[in-house]
Amino acid sequence: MNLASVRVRNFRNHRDSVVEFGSGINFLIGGNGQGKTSILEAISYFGLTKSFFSASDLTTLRKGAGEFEIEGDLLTGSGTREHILIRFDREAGEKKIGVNRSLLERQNHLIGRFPVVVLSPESGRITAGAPAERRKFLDMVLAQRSRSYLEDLLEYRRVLRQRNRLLLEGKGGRGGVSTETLRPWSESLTRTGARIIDRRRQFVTEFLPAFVRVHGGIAQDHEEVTMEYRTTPTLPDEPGTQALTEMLSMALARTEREERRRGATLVGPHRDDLLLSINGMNAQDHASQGQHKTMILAMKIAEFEYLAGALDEVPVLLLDDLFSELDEARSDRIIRLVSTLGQSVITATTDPFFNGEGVQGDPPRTIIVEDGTCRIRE
Amino acid sequence: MLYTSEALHQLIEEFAQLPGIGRKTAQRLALFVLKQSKDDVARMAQALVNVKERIRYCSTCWNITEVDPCAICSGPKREKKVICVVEEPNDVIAVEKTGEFRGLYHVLGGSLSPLDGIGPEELKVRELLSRITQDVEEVILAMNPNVEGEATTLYLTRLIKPLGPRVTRIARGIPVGGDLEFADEATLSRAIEGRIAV
Ligand SMILES: [Zn+2]
Repeated sequence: MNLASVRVRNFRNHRDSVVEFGSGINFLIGGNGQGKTSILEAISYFGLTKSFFSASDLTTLRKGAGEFEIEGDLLTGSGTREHILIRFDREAGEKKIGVNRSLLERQNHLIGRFPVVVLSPESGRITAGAPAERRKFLDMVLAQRSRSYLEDLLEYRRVLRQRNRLLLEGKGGRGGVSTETLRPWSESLTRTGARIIDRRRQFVTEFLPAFVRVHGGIAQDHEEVTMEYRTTPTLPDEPGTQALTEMLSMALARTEREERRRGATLVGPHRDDLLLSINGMNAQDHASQGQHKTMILAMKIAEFEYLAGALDEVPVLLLDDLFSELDEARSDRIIRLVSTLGQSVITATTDPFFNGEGVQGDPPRTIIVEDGTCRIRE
Repeated sequence: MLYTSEALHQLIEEFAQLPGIGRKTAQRLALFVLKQSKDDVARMAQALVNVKERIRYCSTCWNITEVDPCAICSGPKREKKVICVVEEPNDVIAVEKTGEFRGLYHVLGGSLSPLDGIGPEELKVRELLSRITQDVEEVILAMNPNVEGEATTLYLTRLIKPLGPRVTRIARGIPVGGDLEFADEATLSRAIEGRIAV
């Protein structure tokens, strides 16, 4: 997929900005608070129906405005032109999404159609933060990869909330619900949960070789990275969801007393983790800052490769503020690598260093972002 | 002061309580009522009152009715050995429209949803179980295809099976007239899960 242009109205500090993109690297250059990250946020709506940066549409609405609009012209892999319009109305408190001038009945159906891969300073939490950050990473990739994964995920969250509500009734030794009342929710939970775990573990198997290879290509020293999907108690050896369902229901039965005491569901994909290690050590606790940065960059490029291989559309790569602390040699290396991946949009406060000869594809385009306005630098 | 009439304001407030009606629509409806003749308005008001005064629940199937038991429960041509369990009276209307089903109904009054404070006691579950005698051969569970409907189906299956009848559930799948190609993955994968031999 290729993003031809984006128009944003009343979005963050943009009153009405239009950006036309080149099909290779696009630099958005501007000082802090000028509105360059907002353009990336707007593009991320096409992929995720929301900002990668904040969960609420209200926070991206320009101060004093009643509605914002994000409009995109895209060229798909098969050569057709697609038009997306996303409009958020403050008073109605809702967002409408239209593709080619017809309204999407289910907004989720946009996810996976125009894939994006985002690398921002917040992405650092994936390797350094809590397990929830790594689950979010898995879910974001897999939701773009497969709509049935997204449906399962939404269903699972709903079942989990319902089940936790029941468990809460018995918290701290108060009466509590009967086993019969809890059972249907446990059955739904294990069945949907098993499908989610199965997809995640398949993903890790497919993703790991690409991650290791990309990491080997950009790491300064020879370092060995691995990743492993962790669930409670342990993954069964047999493939498929049958064994997983049994494992989950046995684990649930074992923890039921503790669950009733704590008023929450204690096993399932919402408690799992993706264990990342470097040179045999747990990355979360032992990696240096530089090692974290390299790992996260490798994960994102491998994510790009994974989605590009699995979907009909090549994702657009969105890199936010990646170059602020990099030396010239590293900056040059990364830009050369990114130029091989297709279209990307990269924010920076000053022009990142690179040697033009190593850049593949269309020559990079530079867009100056200043006080909520955008213009192409000739 | 937004409205110069308290009566108009009140009517808008009432309309805005209705499901699917926003403030703007409520305002339009209220102004429409204002333009109607007094007779028309009186008839509408009476219709609203009648709904509450005349309609009650069938003490057998818990569908809405004006006579108890309802016309379906007392219908001489209905098959008494099949009971179709649904969530709401709307669902009875939907199934009746098909003209395919000649058995009896049981309206639960909703589906299990702890978040909304709805457990088995809030639904007509005990009433359903008491209807399942030796004469009942099949119970069809026709819940909505969502998380709550699924849990209700699982819950009822466990309760009904030991009582003897065959328990079935309606298939979830591709809508008629829908193109296989355009069915979303979740619908399609569930339709495949629930496939039947030909
Ligand atoms: Zn009846």
